[in-house]
Amino acid sequence: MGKIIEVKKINKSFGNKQILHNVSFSIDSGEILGFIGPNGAGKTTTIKLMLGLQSIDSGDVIINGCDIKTDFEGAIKRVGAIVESPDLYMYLSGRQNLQLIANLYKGITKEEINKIVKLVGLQKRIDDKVSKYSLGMRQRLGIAAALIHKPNVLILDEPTNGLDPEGIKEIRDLLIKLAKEEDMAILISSHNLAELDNFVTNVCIIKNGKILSSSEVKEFKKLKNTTYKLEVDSTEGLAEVLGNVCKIIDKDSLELQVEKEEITEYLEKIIKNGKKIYQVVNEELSLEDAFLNKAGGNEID
Amino acid sequence: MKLIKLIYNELYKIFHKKLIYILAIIAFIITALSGFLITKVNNNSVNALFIETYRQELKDLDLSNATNVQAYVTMQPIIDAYDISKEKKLDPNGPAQYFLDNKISDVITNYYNAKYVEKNEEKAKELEEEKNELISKLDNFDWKAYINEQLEQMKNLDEIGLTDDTAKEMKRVYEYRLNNDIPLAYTDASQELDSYLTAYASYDASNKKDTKLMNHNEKYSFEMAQAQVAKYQYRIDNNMIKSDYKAISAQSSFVGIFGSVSLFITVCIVMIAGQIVAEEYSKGTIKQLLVRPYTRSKIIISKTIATLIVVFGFILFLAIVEGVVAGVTTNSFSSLTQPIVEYNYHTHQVFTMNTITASLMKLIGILPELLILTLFTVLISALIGNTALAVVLGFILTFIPSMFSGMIDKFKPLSYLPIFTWDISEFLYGGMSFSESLTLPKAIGVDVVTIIALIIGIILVFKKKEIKNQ
Repeated sequence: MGKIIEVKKINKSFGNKQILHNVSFSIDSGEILGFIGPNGAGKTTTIKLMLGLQSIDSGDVIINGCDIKTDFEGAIKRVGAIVESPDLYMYLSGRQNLQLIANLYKGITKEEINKIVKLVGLQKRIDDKVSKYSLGMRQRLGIAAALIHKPNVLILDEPTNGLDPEGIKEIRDLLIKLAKEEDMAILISSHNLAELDNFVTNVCIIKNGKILSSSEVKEFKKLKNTTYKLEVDSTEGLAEVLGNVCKIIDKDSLELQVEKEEITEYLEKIIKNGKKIYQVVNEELSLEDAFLNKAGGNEID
Repeated sequence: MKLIKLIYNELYKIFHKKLIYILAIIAFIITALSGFLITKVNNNSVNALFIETYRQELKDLDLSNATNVQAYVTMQPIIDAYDISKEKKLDPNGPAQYFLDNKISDVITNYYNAKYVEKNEEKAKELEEEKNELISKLDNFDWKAYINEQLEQMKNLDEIGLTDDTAKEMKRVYEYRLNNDIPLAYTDASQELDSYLTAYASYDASNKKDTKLMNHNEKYSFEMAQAQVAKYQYRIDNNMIKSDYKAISAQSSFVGIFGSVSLFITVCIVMIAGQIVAEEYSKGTIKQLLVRPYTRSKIIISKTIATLIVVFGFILFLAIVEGVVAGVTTNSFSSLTQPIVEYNYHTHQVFTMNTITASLMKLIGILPELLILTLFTVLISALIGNTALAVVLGFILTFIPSMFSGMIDKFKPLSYLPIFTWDISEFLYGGMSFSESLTLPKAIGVDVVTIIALIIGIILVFKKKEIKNQ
């Protein structure tokens, strides 16, 4: 039995321009995959291919054991998704929107709809027209629409757009709960890494249509040397002594990117150089630093 | 089963938008307004202002001038007739007024001619006496006596060997008037009988020709006249033209809606079909639908079926509005239970059907047009994803036939275009088309092929359509 979502070497071109090159990754139940990349990297295109919204040039997308190309209904049956933005019918109320979607599945009761509405925190405004909603409220309604049929796969394209920090935290908590308690496989795309830190279990970095790295977050953070921030009386001449692991920040502070075991060795070199060390801080690498290091800037070609 | 859920949702969306209600309200207002206006306009009274102008012109006219005499002789009889009508307080639509307009007016005109143009005093005096005698008949006008008089005169003609068919029919109509209490007047019943005589005269004229020598147009007109005459005769034979007959009745208005793809129906089709796919693409809501466990074929088929349901519903709505407005304005709801007479062109027999059957038959006649127009607009809507453009193209399609229909017989390949074959009303009971290049098998063949091609096109386009990145 494979994983819940398997994306195998998918390729996609628009005209002469190849947008995706052999994109592969997989997600298992209980995992939250952060699908990270700069704007224009191919995140949304990948998601559209996974959901059958665009045709796949080559490669396969297998969801719950069904190929999206040959068994669309089987593959999409237990998938909930938001693509680009939660586009709902503006002339209907939030509840009417959810009811329309519920109509498409068997046996979704009014109580279940109410439960979902409560889950996303929209109970007070659910009978208002969507045209009166803020972007954040539409985002919540979009998540409700994606959850209404109790999917085991959730694919969310930039779901935190338009949400305030509190809203982001709520969504984050909700997704963690869904992954843990409902054992869902969740894919969440974002260009804002800070949001995904301490929240996703796996990351997959895409740039210019190619997967740069794909691993568990724990592994991912280990990939980089640890950073130590030092405060000294003077940084003069230290660059030559310490070599390329050293990054001089200003006249009295610098950064060292070295392994834990090596730090004493470098501190000794500084003292031997006649400098005074006032402070040594071990800076834990954020997902964002790790990403920037890996993706190297945001240029789009 | 799955398709029904989708269709239900599509209908739910359509009926939660303002569009359909705006269309319905506009259709209702215009129908009601025109219905009431027609009853107001349908009034035979001469405009008083018009008479006043005549009077001014004739005032102090120098009758020594020949041109002036001519003007006087033309206008004065009209003024006289108007004054007589006013003086006698005649019902403007009644038999006395009709008698005044059709009989007395001639005598008045002749009188003025004799007096001022011919200057024949003796003749003028005779005519004046005749005129006065006729005018005196207007008080308590006895139209039956007048018709009997006419019949009496015909009897004399009969004796001297009159066998003219038209005259026979005239006699029949006079007798029918007496039996059914339909005076010669400005009533719909009376005019219906007059129309019969007109139709009979034109039929009788062609009937004397050899059909083998007729060209298509002559044959077509002859068949039409034949059918018309047969239908009238059936109604006369069965006393179906009653004295309270209304040309515009609840029945004729209700059934009439199904007879052609009118402007309102076209607007409804192109508005609903034009937006059903395009709007969801432009607003992005289509994604909510496409990530659900339904194949694209099912989604687009459900949208097309929902459009057709709304179109048929709208036609029924229009028919009811037209029927109710006509029923109220002409007090003719009882007409709905009357049978409708049709003519079978093959057996040359007349047959009847009820209001519902007649409406359904008419609907079958325009069914290809409804389907092709709807499918075409859905296709455009899916193809270009632009509501406005789909609506405009749908409209253009409906106006092409009227622009080029005269050219079909000159350029035969045109007759293979569905816009010329989609109205099969003329063929329903075995009739022929106005165009010699159009026949029923050909029309149905072209229509079926077009409909299948459009359905395949719609499914293919929708299946291949990618959700573009925003």
